[in-house]
Amino acid sequence: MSGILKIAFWATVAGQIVLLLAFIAVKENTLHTGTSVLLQTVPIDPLSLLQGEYVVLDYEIAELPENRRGAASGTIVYVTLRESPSGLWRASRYSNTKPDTDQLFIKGTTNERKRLEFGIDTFFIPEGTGHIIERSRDVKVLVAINSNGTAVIDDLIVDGLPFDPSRPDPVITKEPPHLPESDEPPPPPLQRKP
Amino acid sequence: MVQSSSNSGPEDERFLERLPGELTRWQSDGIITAEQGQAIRDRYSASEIAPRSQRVQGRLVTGLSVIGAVLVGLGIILFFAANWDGIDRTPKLAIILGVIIVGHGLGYYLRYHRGYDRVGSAMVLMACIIYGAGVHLVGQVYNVDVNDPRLMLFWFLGVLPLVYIVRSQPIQVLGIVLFLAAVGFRMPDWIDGVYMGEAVLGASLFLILGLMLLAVGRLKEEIILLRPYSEVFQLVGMITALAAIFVLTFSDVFDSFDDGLYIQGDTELGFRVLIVAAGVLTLALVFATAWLNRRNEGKFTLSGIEGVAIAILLAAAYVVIGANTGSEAFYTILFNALLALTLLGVLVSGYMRGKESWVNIGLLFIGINIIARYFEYSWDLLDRSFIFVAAGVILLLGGYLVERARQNMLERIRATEGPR
Repeated sequence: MSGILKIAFWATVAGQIVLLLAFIAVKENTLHTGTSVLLQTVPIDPLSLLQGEYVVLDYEIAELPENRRGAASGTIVYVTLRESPSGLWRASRYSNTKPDTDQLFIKGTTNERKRLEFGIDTFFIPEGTGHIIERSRDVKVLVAINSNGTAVIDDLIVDGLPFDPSRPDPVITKEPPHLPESDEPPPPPLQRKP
Repeated sequence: MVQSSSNSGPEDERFLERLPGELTRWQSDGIITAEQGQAIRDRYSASEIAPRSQRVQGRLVTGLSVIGAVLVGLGIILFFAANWDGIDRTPKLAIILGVIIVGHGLGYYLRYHRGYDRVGSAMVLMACIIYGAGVHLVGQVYNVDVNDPRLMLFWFLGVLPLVYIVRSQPIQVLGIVLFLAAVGFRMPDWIDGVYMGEAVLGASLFLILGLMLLAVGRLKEEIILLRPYSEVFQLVGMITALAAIFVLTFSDVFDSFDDGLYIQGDTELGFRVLIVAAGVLTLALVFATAWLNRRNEGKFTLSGIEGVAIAILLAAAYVVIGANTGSEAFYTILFNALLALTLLGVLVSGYMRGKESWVNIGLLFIGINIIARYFEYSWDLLDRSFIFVAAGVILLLGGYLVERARQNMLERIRATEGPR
C-alpha cells in the first residue's frame, strides 16, 4: 500500500473519531451550558430494533395555538417559555422569528399532525422497563436548552422522581394479605327445606 | 489513466489467465525485459490475472471473512441496543471509540502488514459496522430521535473514503447501501408536506439514484484506474433501479387518480435539488461514458445502447413525477412495459458481457414480477385456495423452465471460455 493511501486510511479513521467527538461535544456543551427547564409530557412506548427500547414523548408546549395550525409542515416555530409557580415551564408565546436573547425559548418544527417537534421526542430506557413508564401517573422531562433554542434531554421525571429502572416496582412487589390458618371445618352447603 | 474497455466477456478471461504464463515466456525469450513484464502485470489487478480456481478459492475466503465480520458487527450492535444500564456516559463513549480504533488497527495490520488481504478487509468492514453502531449509540446516549437522518449520514460519511482506499467490494457495497439509506431516512422529512402520491415520489427518487449509481459504475469501467470500483456500483445501481421500477408497476401506487388528483402537497427544497442534481449528473455520466467508449472502441457498441436505455428510464422518472395524465392505467402499462424491456436488456447485456450476476439478477426480477402480477390480477377474481394451488403449480413449472434456460445461458457463456 502506498504511503499516500496509508495516510488516507488513518486520516479516515481519525475523521470517524472526530465526527463522533464533535457530535458528543455539541450535546455535552448544551447539557452543561444550557438552561435547565422542566416540561410536561405524555409518553408512548414502542421498540427500536437498532437502538433498544425507547419512549416517544409529546409535550404540552407542542400544541400550536389555533391561529398557527395552518402552517405548512416543516415550518420553524420558536416557543418562548416562562416558569410557572409549580416549577414547570410553559409556553408564553409562539413566533416565526427568533425571540430576544434575554428570553428563554425552544426551537421547534411543525409536523404533519400540526404539532411541534423539538428534537427531544425520544428517551431511551433499558429493555423490559417500559412498564414503569406505562404505569406512571405523571411524566415530566428535564431538558437543557442553549441560546439557539436547541434542547437536549437531561432526565425523565416519573411520578416526581428521576427515572430509575432499578427501583422496585411497587405494584409487582406488593404481596397479597396473609390470612391466618383456621382449625374449624368448612361450613356445610346450604340445603333447601322440603 | 484511460484505457480501452476490455470488458468483452469470456475472451478477456481467457486472455487474462494466459497472460502470466506468456509474460514469463516472453521474458525468458528476451522479447521483453523484466521491467516491461512487470509494467504489463501492473496494468491488471492480482485477482484479474489469477487462475479461475484461485479466484473461486479467494471468493470463499472473502465470503467466510465477510460473514464473520458482519456477525461480529451485528453482535456488537445488539449488545449496544440492549441499553447499558449501570455504565456511566463517559466510559460508554470511551469504549465505543476504543473498539472502533482497535477494529481498524487490526484490519490495517492484517491486510497491509501480514498480507492477509481478504481477512484484513473483512476486519475493516467490521470496524465500519461498529463505527455505525457507535454513531447510533452516541445518539442513544443523548436521546437523539430514533430515525434522525443525521445518524445514517454520519455513518455514510465516515465509510465513504474507505470505499476507495481499501478497494474491498464488501466495503463498497456497505458504502453505497449507506448512501441509499441516508437518503431513505431523510426522505420522510423532505416529503412531509405531501399527502398524496408519496410512493410515486419515493420510487422515482430511487429510480434516479439507481440509474446514477449504474452510470457511475459504467464510467468507472472505462477508466482503468477506477475499474476495480465499477462492478459493485453497477450491480447495486441496477438492483435499486429495477426495484424502483417494480414498485411503479403496481396500479395501487397511482390510486390517487381515483379522486381525480395526483401528487398533492409540496416537497422540501432538498428533495427537489437532489432529484434534479442526480438526473443531471446521470446524463453527464452517460455522455462521458459514451464519449470514452467511442474514443476507445471506435464504434457504437452495446455500451451506447445501454446509455440510451438509462436516458429513457431517467426521462420516465421525471415524467411520472411531473405529468398528471389523469389515468392510472397509462402509468401502470408504461412501467410494466419498461420493466419488461429493461429486464430483457439486462439479460441480453449480461449474456453478451459474460456477466453471470446480471443474468441471475434479471431472472430473479422476472420471477418476482411474474409472482406479483399473478397475485395482483387473480386476487379479486378467483377463490383464495385455488389461487395458492395454481400459484404453486405455476411456480414449480416456471422454476423448472427458468432454471433450464439459465443453465443453458450460463453453459454458453462458460463454453466460450474454452477448455482449462
